[in-house]
Amino acid sequence: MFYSITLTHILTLSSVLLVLGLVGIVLNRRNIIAILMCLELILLSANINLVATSHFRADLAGHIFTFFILTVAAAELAIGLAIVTLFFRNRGDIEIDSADRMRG
Amino acid sequence: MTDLTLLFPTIFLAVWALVLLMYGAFGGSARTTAAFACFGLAMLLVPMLTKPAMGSAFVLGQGALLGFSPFTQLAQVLLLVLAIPVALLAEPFFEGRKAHRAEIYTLMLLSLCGMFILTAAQDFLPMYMGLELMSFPLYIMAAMLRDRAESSEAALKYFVLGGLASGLLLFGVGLVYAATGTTQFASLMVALGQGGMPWPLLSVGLALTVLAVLFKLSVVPFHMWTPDVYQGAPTPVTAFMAALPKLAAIVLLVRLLEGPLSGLQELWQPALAVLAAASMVVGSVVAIRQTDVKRLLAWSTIANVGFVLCGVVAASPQGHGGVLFYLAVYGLTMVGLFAVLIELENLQEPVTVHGLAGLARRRPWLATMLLMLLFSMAGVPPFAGFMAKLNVFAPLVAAGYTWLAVVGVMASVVAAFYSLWLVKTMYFDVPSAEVAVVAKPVQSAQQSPLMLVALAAVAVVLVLGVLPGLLSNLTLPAATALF
Repeated sequence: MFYSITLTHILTLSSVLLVLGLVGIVLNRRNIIAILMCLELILLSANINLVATSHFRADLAGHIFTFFILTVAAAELAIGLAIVTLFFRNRGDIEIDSADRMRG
Repeated sequence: MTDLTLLFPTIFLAVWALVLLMYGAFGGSARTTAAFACFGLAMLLVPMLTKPAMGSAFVLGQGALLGFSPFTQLAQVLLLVLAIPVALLAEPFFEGRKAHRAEIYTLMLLSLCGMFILTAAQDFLPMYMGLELMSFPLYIMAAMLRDRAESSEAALKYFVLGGLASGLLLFGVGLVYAATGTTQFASLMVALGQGGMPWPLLSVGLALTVLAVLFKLSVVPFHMWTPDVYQGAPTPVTAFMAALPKLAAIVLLVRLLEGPLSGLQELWQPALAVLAAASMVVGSVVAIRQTDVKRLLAWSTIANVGFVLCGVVAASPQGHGGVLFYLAVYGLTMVGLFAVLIELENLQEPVTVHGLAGLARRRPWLATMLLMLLFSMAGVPPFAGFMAKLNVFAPLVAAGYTWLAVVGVMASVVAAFYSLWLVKTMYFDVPSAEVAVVAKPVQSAQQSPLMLVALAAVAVVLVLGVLPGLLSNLTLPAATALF
C-alpha cells in the first residue's frame, strides 16, 4: 500500500524548510556564513514550491522560473561571500554581534 | 514577434554598462568613465522623450512579460533624470578618498536597468529579475569604501535583509503559482476574478509578494535596515538609494495593486493605510532624536515613503499622479541635500546635527542651499515639497481617508520640526570649540559638480513650487494610463 504524494505534502515540506531558514536567521547569534546558508535554504524552499506545482499542473512556467532563481541565487551568494570577506578584512571576525558600529 | 524597439532603453543601459566596464578594465580612468556614463544617460533621454514606446513585449498566452504604458514611460524618464545628477556626485566624493573606480558607474547603470525592468514587469519572473538586478548593484555599491568598517557593515546588513525579502517574495510567488497555476499578472487577474481558489494559499502568497516590495520601499515595519545602510554606505550611494529604487518600487506596487489585485482593494486599502500612518509617524518622530545627519535623512525617508503611500491608498489617477510628483520632487531634494553633505564632508566639516552649528557664518552659500532644500522637505509653501504633499493628501481626502490625511498632516508638522531644528542649528547656534578648529577655513571647491547639482536641485524645487503644473501636467495624464 503506497500513499500517493500530493501537492499539499510538498507545500508542507517547503513551508517547513522556509521556517527552518527563518528560525536559523533569527536565532543564530554567531556566524554570518550560517545566515548565508539559511538564505539559500529559503530560496530552495521556494524552488521546491515552483517545481512541484509545475509538475502537478503540467505547466512549464515553474520549471523555467526555477532555473532563473538558481542562476540568480548563485550570483547572490557570490556577492554575499564577497561582502563577508570584506567585513572580515575590516573587523577580523565574522561574528554577527560585531556588526554593531551603527546604532540609534 | 516582440518589437525590440520597446526594449531599447533597457537594452541600451545594459550594453552601455558593459561598455563602461570594458573601458574601465582596459585602462580608462574613472573620471572619463563618469563622463561617458553621464553622456550615455543624457543621450538615452532623447529617444525616450521623442519616441515614447507603448505596448507589450514577449506576449505569452493571456499576458506578456513586460508592458510599457505612459505611466512606466514617465517613471523611467524621471529615473533617468534623477540618475544623471547622482552619477555626478560620485566623482568628487570618491576622488577625495582615493577610492574612485570605474565600476561604480557600471553598477549604477545595471541597477537602473533593473529598475526599468521592474517598472515594466507584468509577470512575477521579470518582477523578480528586475528586483534583483536593481538590488545586487546596490549591495556592492554600499561596500564601495573597501577599507571602512561602516561601509562593509552596511552592505552586509542590506544584503542579509534584502536576501531575506527576496526569498520571501519567491516563496510567495510559489504559493500564488500553486494556487492559481500562473505567474502572469494578467492571468492572475482573471483567476482572482473567477474565484474558487484555495484562499489561505493565495492570501499568504500575495501578502508575501507585496511585503517584499514594501521592504524595498522601507515602509514600517520593514524599515530596520534603512538607517544603518544609509549611514554606512558612501554618501553618493546613499543618494542613489534614496532617490531611485523607491520610485521604481512604487511604480511596481501601483501596477500590482491596480492590476491583478484591483479586485481585492477592500483588503489592501486599509492595510496600506495603517502601514502608511505607521511609517509617517515612526519616521518623523524617530528622526527628531538622531545626531547623524545621514541617519536623520534615513528616518525622514521612511516618513516620506509613508506620505507617498497615501497616494497609493487613494487609489485614483490623482493619487497615482501625486505619487510620481512626490517621488520626483523628493528624489531631487534628496540628491541636492546629499550633494551639500558631500561638499561638507570634503571640507572636513562634521556631518552631525551639532556639527552644523554656526554653518551659516562659516559657509553661507552651502547653508542657504541646505536651508531651501530643508524648507522644501518640511513642506513650506513656496517650495515644491508643499505641492508634493498637497498632491497626495487631496486625493486621499477625496477617497474618504480623511483620518489618514490628518495623521499625515500631523506627521508633517513633526517633520517640519526637525527640518527647522537643523536650520536653527545652522543659523543661530554657536559652534563648539573643536568644530571651529577642525573645519577648514573658507576656501573654494566651487568648480566641483557638487555645487552645480545642489544649485540645480534648489532651482527646480523653487520653480516646481511656484509652477507645479510643469510636472503635474505630465504626471496626471500618465497616471490615467497605468497599463
